[in-house]
Amino acid sequence: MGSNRGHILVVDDSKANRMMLAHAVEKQGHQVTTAQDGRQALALLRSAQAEPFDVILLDILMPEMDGYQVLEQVKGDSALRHIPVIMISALDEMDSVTRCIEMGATDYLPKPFNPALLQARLNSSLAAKRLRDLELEYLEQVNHVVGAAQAVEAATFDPDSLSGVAARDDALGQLARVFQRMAREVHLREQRLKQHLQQLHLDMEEMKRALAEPLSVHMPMDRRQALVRGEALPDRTSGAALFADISGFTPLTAALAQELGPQRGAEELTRLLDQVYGALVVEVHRYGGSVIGFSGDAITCWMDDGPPTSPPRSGGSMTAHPGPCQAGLRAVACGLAMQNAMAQFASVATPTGTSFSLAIKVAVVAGPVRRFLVGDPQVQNLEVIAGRTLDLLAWAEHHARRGEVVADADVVNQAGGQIAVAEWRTDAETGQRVAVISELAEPVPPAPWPDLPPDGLSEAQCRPWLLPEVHKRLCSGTKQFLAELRPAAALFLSFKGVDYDQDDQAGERLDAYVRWVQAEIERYGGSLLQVIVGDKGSYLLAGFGAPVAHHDDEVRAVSAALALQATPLEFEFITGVQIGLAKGQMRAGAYGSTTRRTYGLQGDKANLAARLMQAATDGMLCDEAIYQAAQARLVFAPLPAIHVKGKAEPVAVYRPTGEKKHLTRSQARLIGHTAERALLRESLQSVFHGTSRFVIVQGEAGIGKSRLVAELRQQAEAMQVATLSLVGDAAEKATPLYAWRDALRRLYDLGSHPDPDEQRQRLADLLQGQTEHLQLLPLLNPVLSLALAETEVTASLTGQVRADRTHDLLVTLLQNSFEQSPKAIFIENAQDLDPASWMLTLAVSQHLPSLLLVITTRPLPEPPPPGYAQLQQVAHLQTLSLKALSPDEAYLLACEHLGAAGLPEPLVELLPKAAGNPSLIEELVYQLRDDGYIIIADGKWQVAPGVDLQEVVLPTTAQGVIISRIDRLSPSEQLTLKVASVIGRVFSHQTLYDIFPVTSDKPHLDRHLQTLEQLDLIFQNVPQPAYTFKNLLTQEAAYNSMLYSQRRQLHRLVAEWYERTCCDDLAPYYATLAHHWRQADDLAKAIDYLEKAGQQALRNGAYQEAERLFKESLELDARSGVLSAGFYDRVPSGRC
Amino acid sequence: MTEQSVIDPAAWAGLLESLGGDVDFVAELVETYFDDSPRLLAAMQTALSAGNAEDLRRAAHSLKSNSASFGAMRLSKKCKELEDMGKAGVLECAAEQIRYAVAEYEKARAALETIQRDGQHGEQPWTHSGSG
Repeated sequence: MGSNRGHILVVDDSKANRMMLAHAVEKQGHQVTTAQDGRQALALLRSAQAEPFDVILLDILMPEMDGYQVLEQVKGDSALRHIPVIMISALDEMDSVTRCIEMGATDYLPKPFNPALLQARLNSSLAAKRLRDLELEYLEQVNHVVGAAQAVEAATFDPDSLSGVAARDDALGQLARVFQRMAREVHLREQRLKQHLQQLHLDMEEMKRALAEPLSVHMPMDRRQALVRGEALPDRTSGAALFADISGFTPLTAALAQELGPQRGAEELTRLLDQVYGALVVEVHRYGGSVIGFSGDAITCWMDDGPPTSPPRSGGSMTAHPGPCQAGLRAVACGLAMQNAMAQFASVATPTGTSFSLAIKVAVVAGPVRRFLVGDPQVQNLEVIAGRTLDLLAWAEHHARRGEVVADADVVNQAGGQIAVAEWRTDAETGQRVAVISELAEPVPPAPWPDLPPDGLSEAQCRPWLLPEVHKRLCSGTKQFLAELRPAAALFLSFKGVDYDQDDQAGERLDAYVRWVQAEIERYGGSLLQVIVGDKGSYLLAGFGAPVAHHDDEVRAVSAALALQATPLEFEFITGVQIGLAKGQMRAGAYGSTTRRTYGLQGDKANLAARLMQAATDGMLCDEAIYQAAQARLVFAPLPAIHVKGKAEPVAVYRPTGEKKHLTRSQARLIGHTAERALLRESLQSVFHGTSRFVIVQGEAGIGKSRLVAELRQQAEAMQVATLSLVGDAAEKATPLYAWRDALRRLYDLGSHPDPDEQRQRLADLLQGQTEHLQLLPLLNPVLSLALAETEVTASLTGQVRADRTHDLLVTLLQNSFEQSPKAIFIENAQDLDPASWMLTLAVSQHLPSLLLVITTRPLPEPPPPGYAQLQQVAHLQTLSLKALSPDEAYLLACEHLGAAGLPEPLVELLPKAAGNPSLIEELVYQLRDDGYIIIADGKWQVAPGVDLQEVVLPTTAQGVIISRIDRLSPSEQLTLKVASVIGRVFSHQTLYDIFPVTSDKPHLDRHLQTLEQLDLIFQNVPQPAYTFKNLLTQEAAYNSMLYSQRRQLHRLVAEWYERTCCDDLAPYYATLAHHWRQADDLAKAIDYLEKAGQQALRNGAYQEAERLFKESLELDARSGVLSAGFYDRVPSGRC
Repeated sequence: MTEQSVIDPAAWAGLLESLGGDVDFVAELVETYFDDSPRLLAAMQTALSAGNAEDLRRAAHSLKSNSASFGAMRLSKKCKELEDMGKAGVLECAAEQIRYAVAEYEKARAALETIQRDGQHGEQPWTHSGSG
């Protein structure tokens, strides 16, 4: 289209003329077709769809049909009209030419023609044609888009129909692309809606089914029958065990998932599973058996002979089902009936017609067994059948093939010729024989269980047999409990050490161990699904990712496995723990029949986990998928690939060895800020010699203020200087003297005197009989929660006088309680200090001799708080501004943290990213180390192979550092930190525990707090049972990472907690309560408390706080319109 | 120009130029002209005998423009007169004019053949004396 070449039709009755024109036209590079008269020309024009003509050179006078007629036809044909027509004419025919132009001809070419003129005319006509073509195409494609719009409305839109237009690079193309995308989305949305409706339908079906099905189907039939009779099953019993293993589900699962997609595939599979299990379980129950457990695609069943100690079939009090003939024979009859039932599944077709064959093999053995119920009923009861009979069963099963029923010799012998044996197989190792059963001599009568009353078992009775989450979903009805294919991690654990045959305590031992395992697995968010006792030892299957999924299920699974490896001493009898872990798409969900069901996890990867467990002779193995997903957080040792049953190729395996993220951080020496540190040391020296010094240390977040103070505090303590530490809290900026409260309580040692009388006595002691001061003690009510009745003196004190007297009293107490002199007071985060605390600080600085006062603050806003301004005017006040570390200092600090003499060059190039901020430098090197980007090789730090440090994403702000550290915490640990951040910079263990929104996590709070402490995010206050965020950044980051709705809910919980817990005297918490209620969005309550706090502040002379409180109250009021009556009446009494 | 040459050298040169000096193609064209022209002359005669002025006009028109292309201007002029007669429907003098045209064509043919034979660049007596 872009070229200037065209397809030209030459119409002339003169052959010579045609030849000349054709020759000339071709010479100019065009394609040419000739016609010798008008009729031929029109025929060509109308049939030339493949290569339409671009220009017509048309003679006028021709036989048959002349040029006029051709022109008329062309111009009257909408498909041809746009083709330019150039008339060929002699110069003496201008009148004819004129007529043609009037009829729509584009131009004329005089003959004998001039090639240059021909070229000019052709080119201009072609250009016009091209333009017109573009225009036509454009209009046509506009029509396409319009058509598409109509199609979308009519729901017949095919997004590909616009592809031609969408390929344009102009605005129309853009429009088409947008439209295409939009239409696709509309289409997808409709599809989703349809699917959703379908899903809803399925859900309803499922729900109906689930509701119709009693919860009791989750327990074995013998258990149900016994429970209904109010009896327990005996620990020891005898009978026949039957094992039926279905083969063929694995390829079918894959085929269904591929054909129908994961969700529908899983549903279809569940439908099939239910059919198959339905057919099998019917037989088990018909012959008086119970399905004890499901493992993978197999069921283990039990047919009881009755307890060996009691006479068989003696009626009423029998705990087991009284079968009419011995259990072994019944079990064989059941096995044969199961094989018959499987015939219908010999060929199962998928929706696309692929055929699969499902078959079972059945093994039957008879003998004594142990029957246990283990596990924490709060989590899940697990049914166990154990003992050598089960070992024998596993052995017999190995000798069975698809379609067969095998039984051990005892079963055949006891049946006394009733059982026809097709073949005896002898175990090469033991010489023991197993019989392949062909038929029964005569039919064995069924022995069905008595019908259970529909309401025989209550929901509460059944609940312990279901995982809480499964139970919740089954009962909720809203979120249906459907089978699904989902990624999950399977953990198989095998253990030895319980003697099921001889040990009378076997049940108790197993129960205790299983409960511990359950708790450990639950702690990491997984679920213990099955306990199976067999010849491979006993083993446990746990799932991570089903029924509850977390984003880091692999990490959780491995962490749980690591915890499970460390068997506590109380289970020293447990030996040979081996663990296998694998992750992949698995089928998770309830399956079975309408009379016996279980929640399970099945799939190729679950099988792989079992194989890895068997191979993990020295501990634990996991597959590649687990390694890939968890290697950033945990440490793995790669091992040589191994061969496992069912896999043609060797499988890559890894051994998890531990956690990475809790790698220790060395207490690095302080680097840099040498002059500032020297000055602080020198200040300490001069205080030691009796001269007070006041220093303000300013600097950005993470620059090292706290470190500096920590170092100084250590030095002070080493020099026997008494120290007192305070921290500001942004949430408590309106709580007068908040920062001083805790410090004072600590100093006055009130924490160990919880009784108000004792506290009063303690303060009286401190006042050393200065009775005029004793009178004033009630002034300290709001600060120290003393709950003392106002005295005559204090009642008369209001406003500034009251504030001054309070300060005097506190200073006096300070002087008296600071037994040592010199002393040092450290105030951190002074940017968040309440004004009263500033004022008290000022008072303290003026009255305490030999005092080192060090205040750290982020750059203060303008204007600075009044107390600060006055402090500045005090003699000896020095301001230190902490600057960023120099590149050399940054290098040294990084070396210090890594304990290295030197750093690899790529790491040095990375250091400037931390901008000389010590916290960032620390975080940067530890993150690189913890994530394995830098490693120690040949005794020095090196960049790990294949790693480009420049491409590693690292936080570049102090806030980002903290956030990334918080991100690495487990969800529960994160939640702990978040909840704490709402409470405040300092939070008590009790508050945290009481308001923690996830009840099930409460028992683990101590552990979470311990982790947070280890990670240096919080520290424990001594001696109170409270914690403090290490720095403001951490608290802010945790707080900001929550949704508004989350914060609001937590603030409400905190506020309610204060109201509930401190209802005796809320006065000290008015401002705190106002803060929490405000953040909880309960403005009426917030205003109420602000007002109370304001009144209180007024009375105590804390005018700035009062002003702030009233202003805030007014602001809130303007927002909420819930101004309390009489408010204005009271305000003028203050200075608002 | 009262007396015209049988083949106008300028027109001939123009033809050659327009065909880019493609001698073979010119020969082919001339051959085509020699094929067509007797047919057109015969068609004129037939049209005249049948009194069909339109057919006469069209045949004359074709021969006129063809002849002009080859520089046979005298023939072309004769054909123009015949074309005009056909157009006007006045055929009285047409028979005689057709005879002139036939004679003129023979001259033109002879001249073109000479040019063809002697080559385009030969020094040719481009002018033959007139019919008189």
